[in-house]
Amino acid sequence: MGSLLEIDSVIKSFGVNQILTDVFIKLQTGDILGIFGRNGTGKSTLLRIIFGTLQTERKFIRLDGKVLDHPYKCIDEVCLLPQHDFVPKHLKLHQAVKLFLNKPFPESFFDDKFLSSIKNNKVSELSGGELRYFEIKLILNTQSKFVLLDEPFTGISPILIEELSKLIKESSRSKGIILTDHDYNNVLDTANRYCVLYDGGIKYFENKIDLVKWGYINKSKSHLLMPTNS
Amino acid sequence: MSKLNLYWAFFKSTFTISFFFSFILALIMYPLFFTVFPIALMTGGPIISLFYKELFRRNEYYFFYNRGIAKIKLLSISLVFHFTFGLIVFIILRWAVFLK
Repeated sequence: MGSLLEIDSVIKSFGVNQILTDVFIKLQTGDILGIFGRNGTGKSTLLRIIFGTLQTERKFIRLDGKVLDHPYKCIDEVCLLPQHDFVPKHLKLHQAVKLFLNKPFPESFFDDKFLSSIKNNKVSELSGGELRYFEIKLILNTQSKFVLLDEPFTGISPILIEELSKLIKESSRSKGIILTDHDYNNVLDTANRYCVLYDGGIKYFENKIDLVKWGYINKSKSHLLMPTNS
Repeated sequence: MSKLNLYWAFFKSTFTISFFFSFILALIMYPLFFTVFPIALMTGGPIISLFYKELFRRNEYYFFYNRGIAKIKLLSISLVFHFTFGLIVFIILRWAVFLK
């Protein structure tokens, strides 16, 4: 049976600037919601509010009918991939996996052409792209019902992005996923629902050309929008 | 058990800085080395180490948030581990000085 995450009435200000005015998101298992928005519109802020690590003036979060103030405190309900590296640098990859997934040595996790050769390396020895790929795979391998991915494609080579996009789509069979990234073509390709954070609120759209309407890309650049699979 | 392992991993990530800070402080105050070292391990060392983490490794808290552990719990338990470790070192050093 699928799960349902409802986010409503989110208001957040920094000083006199109210960046989120009234956000409403309904996310179910199987959804991959791509959130677009210019820099500073509050995408990362919104994800941290949903996760429960950022205080806000007002919010309402309900998961399967249960109201949650700090969803992250309920293990395996909601996970967040933050914008910057989060796995402690002193750990080796296989130690991080054991700790994070609470499993005995997870051989299957490393049964992967990108990770198999580096499983005994320390996190601090990985390149930016390798680490990002490892972190995303780690988050997607949890039992969590919902996953929030903040800029997962940043600093990753095209071949890894392709692999990640596949992983995200596969994971959405058992999870609901929110995805934000400025690599809009890959977000459009991976997600199955789209919205823009505009003027503090969420605007849903179905046609990718609406990204021009909501001021996310210039009309002159609209030809760069690639055809999507969806 | 899994949560204890996570708390231990966090403690280990703070211990190196704490240890070196305490050791250097104790060296500076050399005649009082055996007193200053364990006391610094219990007090100033972890505070400096957690401050460093707050400034430069803040994102690592997300590793623990994602396993349901709040920051306040991590900090409290890390301080308890430091205090216990410092106390053990303090008792051993006192005992060594007493035997000498």
